[in-house]
Amino acid sequence: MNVQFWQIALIVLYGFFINYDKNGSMLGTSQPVVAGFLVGLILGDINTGLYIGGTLQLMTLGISSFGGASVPDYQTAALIGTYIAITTGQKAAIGITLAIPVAMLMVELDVLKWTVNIYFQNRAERYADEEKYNKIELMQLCGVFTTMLVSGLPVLLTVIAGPTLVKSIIAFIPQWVTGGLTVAGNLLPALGIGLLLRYLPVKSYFGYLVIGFIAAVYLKMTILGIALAGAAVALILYRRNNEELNTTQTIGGVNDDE
Amino acid sequence: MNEQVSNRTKNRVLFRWILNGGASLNYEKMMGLSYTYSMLPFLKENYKDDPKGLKESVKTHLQFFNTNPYLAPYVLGMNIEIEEQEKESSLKTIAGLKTGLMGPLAGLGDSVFVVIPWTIFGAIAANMALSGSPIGIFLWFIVTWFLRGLGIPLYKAGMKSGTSLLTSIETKMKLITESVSILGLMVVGGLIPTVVKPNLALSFKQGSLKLTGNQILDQIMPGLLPAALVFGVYYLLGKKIKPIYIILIIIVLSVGLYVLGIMK
Repeated sequence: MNVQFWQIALIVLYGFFINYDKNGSMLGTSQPVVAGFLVGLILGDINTGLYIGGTLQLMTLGISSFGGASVPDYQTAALIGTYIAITTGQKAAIGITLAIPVAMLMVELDVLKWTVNIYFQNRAERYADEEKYNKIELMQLCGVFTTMLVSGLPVLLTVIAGPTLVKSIIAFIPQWVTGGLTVAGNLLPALGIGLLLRYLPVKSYFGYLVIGFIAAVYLKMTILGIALAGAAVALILYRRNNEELNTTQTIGGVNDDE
Repeated sequence: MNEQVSNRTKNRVLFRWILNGGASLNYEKMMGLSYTYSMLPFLKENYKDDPKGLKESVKTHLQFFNTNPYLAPYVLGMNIEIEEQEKESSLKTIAGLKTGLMGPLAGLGDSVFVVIPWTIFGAIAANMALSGSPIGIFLWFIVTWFLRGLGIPLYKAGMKSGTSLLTSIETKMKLITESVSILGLMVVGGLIPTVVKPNLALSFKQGSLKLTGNQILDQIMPGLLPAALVFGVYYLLGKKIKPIYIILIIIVLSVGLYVLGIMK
């Protein structure tokens, strides 16, 4: 398709914003499904965007970064994958195939950012000694800028290198890669779920996991339905535990399984 | 009461945090720089006639700080209230308070504000997106903005409580985390067969009866393969195998299964 300048400008701006939003403002635009949707909206092909974003979202479900661990950056990958798929007129599966290695490579950039920002932290400490407080604010803004570069640069490069280069790369991708990655796309959500289960108190409350499973496979309930039922159960248990707490004034019954 | 710093300045502290909270993370002091940046408008006003106190305070705040960004406003509020009253004599207390609070707040905040809502609403948004509807995304936006907006009452609560309310809130939060974990487990149970979708390419033919591999497995138990796969991953993670390697294992396995014609 023919991409207009305003479309490219918006994509690049979003590319710089997406990693900032992930760490700073947290308005929710830094998720694969949202990235796919927004890029689809800008380029006028919402369905392809939703499909690529939704697939990548499921792969990353339950994978989130805490305490400085770097995880594959599927949101920027979704942005790039959707942009390429739509502008080169390829199938959505190609966009997903390209997005997976991009997400993995982005980990390196993230590690680089965390390292570079140590320099700004140290400079800020020196400025504190010299009582130059406005410079400390400048250091913070430098740190924010490197955060934006992490996602902004790859997006900028994609747009500059342009569909022509990517098209020639796509021509080299054999069928077994796209086919294999389609299978992988169906299996990868298991990883996020496994990670989540490591995080949740599975051993103490295994029964609830089984109830949710049964609700889905035998009762054919949707996730929203199961979430509402789960909320009801959680509310009942919260009430009961709260009353127990008020009468006994101990927290011995609270089970910590981490 | 010793109210010197205007409310407008205090609001600027929260505003700065919400805009830039975790945006300058570094391996050495994590959110130390962001915390200081957020506090600076308040500090400049609080130590107007005391350059020595200001310097000492800034250096204290530049130290290591790392917690859940959604709950950090509570720490900021508490910090501001105490430091406004006691000035630099409170810095040791505040440093201790920050260190003591960031661990528990991170644990509670990460599950209640991040992992569980992201899983539930992420799954809903993704499933709706795959069937061509962006409604799930808007739903997720609303939830995110609501959770983000809770920073304002948390900030006010921090200012009001000083240190007194802390213990009761911590107990309450433990209860909330536990209840929300149960909700999370039920949703994850439902997610296993919904989002993990192994698609067998094999099929069996006997006379006029033709069954696909998927149908045969469904007759044994629907969701059998997804459940087995998830528990396989769960087991590997328990063996301390890094997620990135599991991704690679799954990709290699998938390509193999596709080439052999077992899955499609």
